[in-house]
Amino acid sequence: MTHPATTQAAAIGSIDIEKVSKSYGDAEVLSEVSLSIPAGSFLTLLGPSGCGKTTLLRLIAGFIDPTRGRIRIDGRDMTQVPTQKRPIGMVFQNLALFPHFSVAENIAYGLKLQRRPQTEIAERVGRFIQLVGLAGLGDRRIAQLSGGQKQRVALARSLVLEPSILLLDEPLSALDLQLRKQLQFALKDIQRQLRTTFVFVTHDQEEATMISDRIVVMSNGHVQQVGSPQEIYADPQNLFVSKFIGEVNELPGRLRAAGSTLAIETGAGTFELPAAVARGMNPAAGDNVVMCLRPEKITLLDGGAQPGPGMVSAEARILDTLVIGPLTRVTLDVAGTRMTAVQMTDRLGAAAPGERIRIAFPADAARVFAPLTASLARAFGEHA
Amino acid sequence: MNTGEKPTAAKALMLLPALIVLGLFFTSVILLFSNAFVDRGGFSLKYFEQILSRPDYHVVFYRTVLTSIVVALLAVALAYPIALVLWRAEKNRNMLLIVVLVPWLVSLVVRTYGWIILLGPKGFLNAFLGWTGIIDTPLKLMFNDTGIVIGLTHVLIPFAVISILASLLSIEENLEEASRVLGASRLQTFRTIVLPLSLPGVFTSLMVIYLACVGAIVTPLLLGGITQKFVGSQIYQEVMATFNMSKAAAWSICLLTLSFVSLVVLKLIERRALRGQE
Repeated sequence: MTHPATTQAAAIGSIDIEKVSKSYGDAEVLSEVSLSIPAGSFLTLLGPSGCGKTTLLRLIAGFIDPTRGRIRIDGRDMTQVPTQKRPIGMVFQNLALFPHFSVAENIAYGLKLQRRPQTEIAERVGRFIQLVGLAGLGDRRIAQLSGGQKQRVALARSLVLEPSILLLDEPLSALDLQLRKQLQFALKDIQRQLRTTFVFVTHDQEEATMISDRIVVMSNGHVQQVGSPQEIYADPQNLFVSKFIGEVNELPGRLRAAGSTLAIETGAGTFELPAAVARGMNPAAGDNVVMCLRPEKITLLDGGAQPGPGMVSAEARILDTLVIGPLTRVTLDVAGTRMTAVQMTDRLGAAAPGERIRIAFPADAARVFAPLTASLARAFGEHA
Repeated sequence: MNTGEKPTAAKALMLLPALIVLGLFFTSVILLFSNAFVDRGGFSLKYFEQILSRPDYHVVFYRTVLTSIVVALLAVALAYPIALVLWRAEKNRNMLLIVVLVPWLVSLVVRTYGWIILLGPKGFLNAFLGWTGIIDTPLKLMFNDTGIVIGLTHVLIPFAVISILASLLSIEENLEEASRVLGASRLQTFRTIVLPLSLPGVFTSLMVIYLACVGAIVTPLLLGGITQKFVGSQIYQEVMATFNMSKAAAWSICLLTLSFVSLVVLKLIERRALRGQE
């Protein structure tokens, strides 16, 4: 016998967010967010503070209920399911370890609630203390641990229950850089071993690109883009994502002509680009647009070298060079507009500040977006 | 704490008022205590013998201790839910706290007279219950231990609310959510996380209320009967009615010893209960 609800069997550990909105009074913190999180993935919710990423996480956990929309876990509607019955674990930003329990008691807490046999509890707690690298510290009080050790206890406490989904709310934000890097690798490693679905919240784009399989860029309660770190970096779908991930040269301008090619008049000159570089807009002549160019796409042309086919070039003056090991950052003045280029140090030649040169970039490496809306601009502290 | 600053004459001067207060306090206490050991100009333990050998005085001690224990437990039991409500009510917490503290704006004597109006044989409560036909003869709600318990509990509940609330507020954010995510129901979370972590506040309340009860005077005097004496009211009577300062002093020393012993016992219980908590 087939039940209509079971015909679409979903993998254990998958999350489906269907048109979820959340409002507090008049303020809508999430609007119509739809998202499919495949089982076993390491997905990061990335965005500036106040973008709704933590709200989305708390909705998945069931601490709050959506105003509209539905969340399914393993294909099952979670609307009526209280937090403690959901197949999830969670690591909190402040870790939320129980101060009146020891390390082992913290980790055993969930197992005791499940009334597992004593021997099984002892065995599993021991195994997970090992897994997170806390061997020998089981009897310690929480107050006696360092920040990194607390982090590991929080992780073990959730993972020992073998949830199919682990939610992590900026768990590394309180740590110093060194420890943070170390734990990022540890997290990724543990996730690969266990094949648990990790949903990780952060505002740090570098952390997000390092750690995750998929990134969801959020802003103002909307999903801006979903994709692998490479996709998000190489092909941002709007100006917000382009600015938020990595470094970018931003050239505000106006479309002089829009057909099979776009003629864009910017402070750095007028550029002719193929129409395919426009993202998230229908280009029309007269539009205000922003042209974006990654610094590593710009080449400095040596002496009288001519730009290759498909390249766009411009006159520039070198303002400054900064060697950072194998890479060099070159600050340029292009017709009065400041731009940054990143070059391999060994291919830089004799470029020196003050020198006049030609720069070139592949026409299809540039991107053209509509300007930010006022509310999105605020996320960067700008006024539109 | 060493702030690295040199002590100056100005600072020494600022300590002076405190020294005067402390000096007067200890002088008076020492004078009072020395009274207890003096009879007709010579050293004597006569008053202690009198107090400790009379069975009716033993009853006063028993009543004081028992009633105080009952009041402390009752006040904490009633205050805990109030503190929980205040803890949850993030927005209106300050306003609700004022409501809890309003009784303290009225003097103790006035409040106690208020209870007489409510609890007396012809008081509001008995009149109402008689009118509804629930009772035929008035309930004896005052001039006995019941009256003392009601009066003292009412006066002391705000102490318990405040110290339990302080304990609850010091519980780290998200602990309840963490417990829920690990599979605990709301009730289990309360039992294993919230309650144990609020115990310091519970013990502080028990201690403060117990000590306040043991030394209570006005409430037992007004709401207790002539025979329902407390150690406090007994001392009051020795001073105001029989003018026997030496005996009053001996009573005080007994009361102080009693409080101290109770405090030690309570501290031992607290240490057992809070084992493992920092």
